[in-house]
Amino acid sequence: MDTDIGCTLETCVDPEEVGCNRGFLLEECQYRKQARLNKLGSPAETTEVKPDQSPESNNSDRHLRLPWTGNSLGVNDLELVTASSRTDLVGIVGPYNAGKTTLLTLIYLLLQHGEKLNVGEFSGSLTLSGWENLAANLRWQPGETGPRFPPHTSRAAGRQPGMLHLSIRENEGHRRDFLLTDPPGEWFSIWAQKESAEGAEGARWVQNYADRFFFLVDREALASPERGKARDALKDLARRLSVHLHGRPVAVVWTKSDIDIPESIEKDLSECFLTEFPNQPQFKIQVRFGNQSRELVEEPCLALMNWTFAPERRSDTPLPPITTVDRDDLFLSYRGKGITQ
Amino acid sequence: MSARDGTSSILVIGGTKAGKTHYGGQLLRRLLKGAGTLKTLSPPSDLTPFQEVLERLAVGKSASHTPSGTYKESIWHLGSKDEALETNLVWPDYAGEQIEDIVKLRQVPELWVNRIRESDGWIFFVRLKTVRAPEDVLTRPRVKARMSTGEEAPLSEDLPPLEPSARVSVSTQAGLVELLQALLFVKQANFSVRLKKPALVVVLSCWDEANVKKSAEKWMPPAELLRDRLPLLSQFVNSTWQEDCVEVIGLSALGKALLDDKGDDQFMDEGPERQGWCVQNDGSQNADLSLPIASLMRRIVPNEE
Repeated sequence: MDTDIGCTLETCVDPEEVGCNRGFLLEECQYRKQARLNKLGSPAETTEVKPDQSPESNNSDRHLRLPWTGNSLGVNDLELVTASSRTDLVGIVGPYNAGKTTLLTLIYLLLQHGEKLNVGEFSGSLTLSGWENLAANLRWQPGETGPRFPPHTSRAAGRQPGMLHLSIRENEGHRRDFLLTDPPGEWFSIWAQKESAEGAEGARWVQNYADRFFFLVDREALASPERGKARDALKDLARRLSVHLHGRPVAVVWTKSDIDIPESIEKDLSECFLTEFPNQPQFKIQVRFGNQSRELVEEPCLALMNWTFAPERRSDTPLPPITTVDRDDLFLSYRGKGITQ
Repeated sequence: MSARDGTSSILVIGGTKAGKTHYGGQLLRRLLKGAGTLKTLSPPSDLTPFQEVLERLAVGKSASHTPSGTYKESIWHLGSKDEALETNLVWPDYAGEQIEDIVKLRQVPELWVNRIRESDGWIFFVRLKTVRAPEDVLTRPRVKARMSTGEEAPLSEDLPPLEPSARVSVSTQAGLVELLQALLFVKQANFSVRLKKPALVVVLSCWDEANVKKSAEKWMPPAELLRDRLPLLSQFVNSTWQEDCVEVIGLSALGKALLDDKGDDQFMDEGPERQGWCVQNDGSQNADLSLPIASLMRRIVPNEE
C-alpha cells in the first residue's frame, strides 16, 4: 500500500536510500514491482501478485537468498549474529573528527595484510562489503586521486549506529563474534553536554549495550587554536562515559599520534583518564604518511586489537534488543551504501 | 550423489578465467591414459563437455570461455592405482559467472543449492594473476596534506591502471572469502568448530604466471604463497577448516600460457599430456595432474550411517 517508498513490504524502510530490505537489486525485487503495479492505478486487491507465485519465481528460477547483504548491520540484522553465538559489542566513543572511521579502516587493513593477532585468527565477517567500502578510502584506486581520510559518518536521524562484524577463531578453537560500532561524533558531543538530550539516543544506545569501549582522543584538536575547548569537551565526555560503566573495560585511544600537543594538556588529560577509567590501557594510533616504523603504525593498532579480542574479556552486558521497525525511521535499517564498483 | 551410497561428489568451484576448463581437459587426458595416481575405472559418462578443450589443446591453442548459460555434468568413475581410493567424481562444466553471481546478486540458484548440499568436497580455484591486492596507505603512504584535501596526486604518485580482470567490486580477496562464506551457508556448515566437511582443496591455478621464484628445484610451498598473496583468505581457510581436511595445491594445467588464435608448435608437438604440473605442499613439482583430486578424496570424511 505505501507506494510512496516504492515497496509493498511492511519492513522495507526506504529502498532508494538504504537498499532493498531483502537484499535484492532494486529492479529485481518482487515487492517493488508490486508497488509499481499498484502505483499505475490498478487497485491493490485486483493486481496483487504474491511474490512467491510471480512468473519470475517459477520452479526453474528459484533461488536461495543469502540472509546478509555484506553491508554494515543495522539493529534489525543483529539476530544474524546474536542468534548463534554470544556477540561482543565494541562501542567507539569520540567527538566529531576524532578518527573513529579511520581507526576501523586501519583494523581491517591490518587483517587484510595478514597481520597476526596473538588472540586468534580472522574467521569471517558478515559485513565484508561494509569493511571494503571503508577501506576504499585508504586505498589507491586506478584513475582516482589516491587515498584520503574517510568522509565523516553521517549524523542522519538515527538512534543506533551502523555496525561492522568480525569473527575471530580463538587459539583454542572457539569462534567469537564482534560488532564494532561506527557512530557519528556529534552524538557524543550532545550526550556529553546533556545525557538525556534529543539527538543523543545513539550515544545512549552505545553506552547501554557495548561490552567494551574505545574512547578516542583527537590529538589534532588538542593541538589546534581551539585546544582548550577540545580538552574540556573530552573531559566532559570521559566523565559522562565513566558514570554507567559498571566495570566494562575502556581503551583510551589517542588518535593522530604523529601530532604533538602541549605537555600540560597531555598530562592534564592523562590524569583525568586515570580518574575516570582507572587501570585501563592507553594506545597511540596513527596512519602512515611517510616512512614511520611499524612500532608507530602497525604495532599499536595490533595491540589494541589484541586487547579488544582477548578471550578473557567476557562481559554480562545485556544484548541489544531486536526491535520492530519504525517505518519513518530511515536510519534504523541502514545497511551502508551497497557495494562500490 | 553423496558418500552415503559409497561414492562422493566433488564440486569444482571457480570464477571466470580461473582455469577450470583447461584443467578438466588436461586431467581427463591424463586419466584416460592412466598416467597418474588416479585412473578411470570405466569411460566417463559424457565426453562432450571436454571435446572442445581437448581439440584446442591438441593443436596448442587455448580453449574459449565457457558460455555463461552452460552447465554440463560429466561423471567419472575414478580409482587410485593402489585401489585404496574409489569414487565417482562429478565434473561440472559451467561458466565462472555463475559462481561470481552468488556474491554479486546475493542469491544462489536452486540447482546450485542442491549441488552444494550434495557435495562432499570442494576444489576451489584461485587464479593469483587475477587477484591483485590493492595498495593502501600502509603499503604506499601518501603525504598527509593530500590525505586531508584529496588534492590531485602528482605524477610520481600515479599508479598504472589495473588490468580489467583485476578490477572487481569487492577487493577480490574479500570476494573470495565472501564466496566461501556463502557456500558454507548453503551447505549449512556449523562454523562454531573447525570444519571437517566439506573437505577443501584450494588450487592456485596458472601458477606459471603468478611470478613465483623457484630455488633448488623447489617452489615456494603453495600454502605459503596463499598466505603471502591473499592473507585474509588464507587466515579464513585456516581458521575455518580442520588442518587435515584442507590443502593448498599449486597448478599449472598447461605449463605455459597458450593463445586462442595461434597454436603453440612446441606444445602441440610434445603433446598436451606431457604438459602441465602441480606444486605439492612441500613445493615440489609433480607432473601428476590428478593430485588435487586424489588429495581431496583422501580428505573427504565418510558420512556416518
